[in-house]
Amino acid sequence: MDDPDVLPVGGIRLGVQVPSRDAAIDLVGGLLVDAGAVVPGYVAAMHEREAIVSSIVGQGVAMPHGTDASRTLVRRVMVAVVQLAAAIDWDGHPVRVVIGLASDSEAHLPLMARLAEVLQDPSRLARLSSTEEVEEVRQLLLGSPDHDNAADPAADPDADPDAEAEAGREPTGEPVDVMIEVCVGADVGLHARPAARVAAVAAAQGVAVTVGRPGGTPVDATSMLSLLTLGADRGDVVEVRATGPGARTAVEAVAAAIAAP
Amino acid sequence: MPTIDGDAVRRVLVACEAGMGSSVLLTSQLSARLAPLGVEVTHAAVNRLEAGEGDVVLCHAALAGRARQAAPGVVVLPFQLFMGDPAFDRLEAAIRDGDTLGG
Repeated sequence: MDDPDVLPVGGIRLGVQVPSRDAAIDLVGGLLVDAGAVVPGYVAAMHEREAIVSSIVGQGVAMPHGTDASRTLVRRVMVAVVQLAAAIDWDGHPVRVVIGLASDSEAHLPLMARLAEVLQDPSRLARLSSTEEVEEVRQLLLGSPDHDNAADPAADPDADPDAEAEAGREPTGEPVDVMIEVCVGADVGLHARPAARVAAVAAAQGVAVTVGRPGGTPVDATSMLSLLTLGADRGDVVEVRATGPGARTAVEAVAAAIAAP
Repeated sequence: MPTIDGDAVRRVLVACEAGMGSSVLLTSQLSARLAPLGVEVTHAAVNRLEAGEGDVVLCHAALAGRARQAAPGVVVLPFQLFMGDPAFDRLEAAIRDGDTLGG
């Protein structure tokens, strides 16, 4: 296991409400400051870095950190994680998980390699976005990658109990539930032509796709009239869902149609 | 505009502003795709790029100008998205098929 101090318990906040990208950067930067990993000026450098290039990673994750010049403000390598109760708009992309970095070395690379895997694994990504357990976040981002990659946990006699328990929560053969949060991209919102376009894309999919407001009742994505009832304006977050074989492809296609300008 | 044939690419350098975040993440993901093709992927901060360190530089479109200044003569491939940008597929295909890359 990697050095757990890279991701201390005090650097993880779950189910937090923040109004905006900048507020999220202040919060995650504050965790780095409070832990003594950076001097307070680093938070300003995080905002500066964000202005150069958005730190949006995709898959509902953003990864703010300081500028190259601000490495001198880093006292030790640390990663902080803020999981949001509801997605916020991050330069046109919905974000649920904000990962703050402070590094002047390569000590965070194992964690980044783990994160790269989690981003490509819908079930682990869903847990990172929704877990209520700080330890689960640490397990997801610090645990040994090999344990999670093993197709059959029993095949690895050294697998720790956590890894097996984790595998047990992903029974194979269950219907695959796929959900993507996306921001409406069209200037006019999800109305008129954009809604017709989304309905057409949804109708071309092999599985039923729904679109809904977070916490609201999902509607049939092939029905333009139903889509209009969502009243979703540009930048609003909607959830696209499907279940079963082909669900991911279908959800990605419909989400892309919703995000298109 | 510099060009390089895909089968001559042995080292891909991923550059980002600070060399601590996005480039590291992308390096992890691309290594898995390009290692089977015999290509090494490393990362660096855009201001610390050095000519000769990589055959191709990948960086966010907003940093492409700085990358070209820092490593003149090296092919710079800009991308917009850290996950699933078509530039990564083009790079992989060009390396596999030996197509010419320019940028």
